[in-house]
Amino acid sequence: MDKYRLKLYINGRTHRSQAAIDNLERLLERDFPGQYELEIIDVRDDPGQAEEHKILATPTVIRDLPLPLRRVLGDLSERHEVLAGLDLEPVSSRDEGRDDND
Amino acid sequence: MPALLPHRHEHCEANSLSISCVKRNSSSATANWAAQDMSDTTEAWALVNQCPVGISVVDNQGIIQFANRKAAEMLQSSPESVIGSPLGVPLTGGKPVEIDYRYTSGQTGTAEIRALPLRWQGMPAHLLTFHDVTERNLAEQALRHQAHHDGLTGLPNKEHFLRHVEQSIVRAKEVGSGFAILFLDLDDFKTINDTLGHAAGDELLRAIAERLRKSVRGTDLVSRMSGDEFTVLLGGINDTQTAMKVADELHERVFVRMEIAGQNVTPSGTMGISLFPVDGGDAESLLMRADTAMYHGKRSDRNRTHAFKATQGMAPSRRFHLTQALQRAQENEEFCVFYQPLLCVPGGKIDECEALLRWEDPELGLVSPSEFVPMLEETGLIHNVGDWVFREAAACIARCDRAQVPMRRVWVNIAARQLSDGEILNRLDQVTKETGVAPERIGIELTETSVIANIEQSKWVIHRLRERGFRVAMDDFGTGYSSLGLLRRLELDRLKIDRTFVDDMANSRMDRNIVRAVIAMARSMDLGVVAEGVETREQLDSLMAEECEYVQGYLLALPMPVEKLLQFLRTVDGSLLTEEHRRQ
Repeated sequence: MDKYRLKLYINGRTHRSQAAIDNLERLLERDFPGQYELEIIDVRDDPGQAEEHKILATPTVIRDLPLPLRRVLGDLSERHEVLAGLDLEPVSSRDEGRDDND
Repeated sequence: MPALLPHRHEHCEANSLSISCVKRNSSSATANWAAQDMSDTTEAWALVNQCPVGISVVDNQGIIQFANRKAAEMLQSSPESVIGSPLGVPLTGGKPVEIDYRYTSGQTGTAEIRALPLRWQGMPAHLLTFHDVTERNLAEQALRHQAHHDGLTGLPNKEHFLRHVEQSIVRAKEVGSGFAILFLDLDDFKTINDTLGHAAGDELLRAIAERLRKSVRGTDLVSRMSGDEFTVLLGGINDTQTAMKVADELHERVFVRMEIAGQNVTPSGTMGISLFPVDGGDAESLLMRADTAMYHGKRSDRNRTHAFKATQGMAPSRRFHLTQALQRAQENEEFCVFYQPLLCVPGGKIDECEALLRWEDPELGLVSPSEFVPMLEETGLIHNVGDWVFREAAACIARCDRAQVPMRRVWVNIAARQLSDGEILNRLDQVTKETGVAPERIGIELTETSVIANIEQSKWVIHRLRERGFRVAMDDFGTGYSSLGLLRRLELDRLKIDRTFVDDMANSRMDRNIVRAVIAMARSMDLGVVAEGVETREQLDSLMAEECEYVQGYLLALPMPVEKLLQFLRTVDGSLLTEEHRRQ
């Protein structure tokens, strides 16, 4: 399976931004080690990207790939919400699914 | 019809939307819109639209389906274009979550959002509210800043610095690197304060702070500990040699000539360095060791940087401990006032005394006022402690009155820092008002050096003090540089001859002549004279021969607590003292 490609948009290096980064990185490392690409974009440094992706508020995460595109907004502190909102399927669940199908 | 209203689709299941009929199913926490008749609808739309809280609906793809005017404004969209814009599926975990947004004006702000699941036009969606918390957060930030920064220089304060060091320790352990703590103490700062005044001293501190801030990297942290002490955390330093090199560069940039109060001043400072992890594993230890290195440097080689050496001992420097302990001393009631009687030589009466501040630290024991009073001044604690001494003196007078023992006046010392602002007058007014003690019964002692540090200010304060009825004496007379012209201008009541002249009176003709000259001069200017530090019978005899008006010293009595003073005054009975009295 292709890697998940995610972009996290933050507004400056604030506590709020750092908390979102930590929450997302922790989740990805735990559930998708080696299976994701995460790009962190500070809208203050790169307003062009924010404009291009119509970022209205931060922290916002966009799942670019696989399509369809998913977009969530919040502090990313609730793992299950993040998984559901970005439609991410942890490896263990996918394996279980394959076993079932097999 | 406001432009922000959702498009009225023909298939819209709720043909109207009314704020008055928003219901929330308490069991599922799901909001549902119920139908209302059309006559309510227009008003309800207006209400929603004008609501100062942002209200929006996003679908399960995170696309905005509805937004009132406030929500559109907060999402940097024009009212016309906000609907259909991607916001994102709100993830709030059922609790308020803060997000950043950008106003149409380009300003950024913070909103607290809450989300509830809802069905919108037959589809699952999310109802979002946006509370603008930008102002609240800014106010909180300002309060936090105030609590963690020094008001004079704007630098982080000690508490902030220690927390930053603790965090740096955690990070340094993670990546296996080190850092250095630099403790800087200005040399001769007191002289600047005493000669150019406290305003100039403050100006110097601000200038040093600014130079330090500009001379370090963005990742380093400069803070002001207290008084003339600054600290710097230098990141990514693993050995003493590098730390010394960086510190020397910093020293070169900071300690160059500057103009303070119209004078060219070349400040100097002594710095101490400690390294994490070799010199300590926690913030307090690292700071203490940098302070210890500085303290040792002050005694041997000032205006340089000194690295901490294990041979300097693991204990904190006395100065560091004193600063810490002084902060707690008043709260813990470790200060006390002792009273030393003055003998009026012509009448042989004892009806005055001097109030002397004493401090006994639980660990350091009795600390000399010459050591802790300058630190009280540096830290600004002198004002509160000074007020307390005034109150104690007033209470002593009241106790003497109640006990019917003679106590005409209690003399209280005030420090240069207290003299530097007119606040001392208000503070004394407050004490006399609260205690009912007449100002005539309180004498104020000022040192010659503190008066000379700011002559005009001192002159003004002395004038106002005497206007109120307080008596004023110049303490330690003969050690400073006051002229006869100055004495005439100052409207003093008394001079206190410094003990150094009294000490050698019996043996030194020169000192005896100085005392004689001071007494004669004072008499010609209608000033009273007190000789302090009288410890021997010979000294007393010499002073009596010179017709010195008052004497004070161990020969007469040691400073004592108020209870002992009362007992003492009952027994002396106005006569010159016996050996027995002297030992009490």
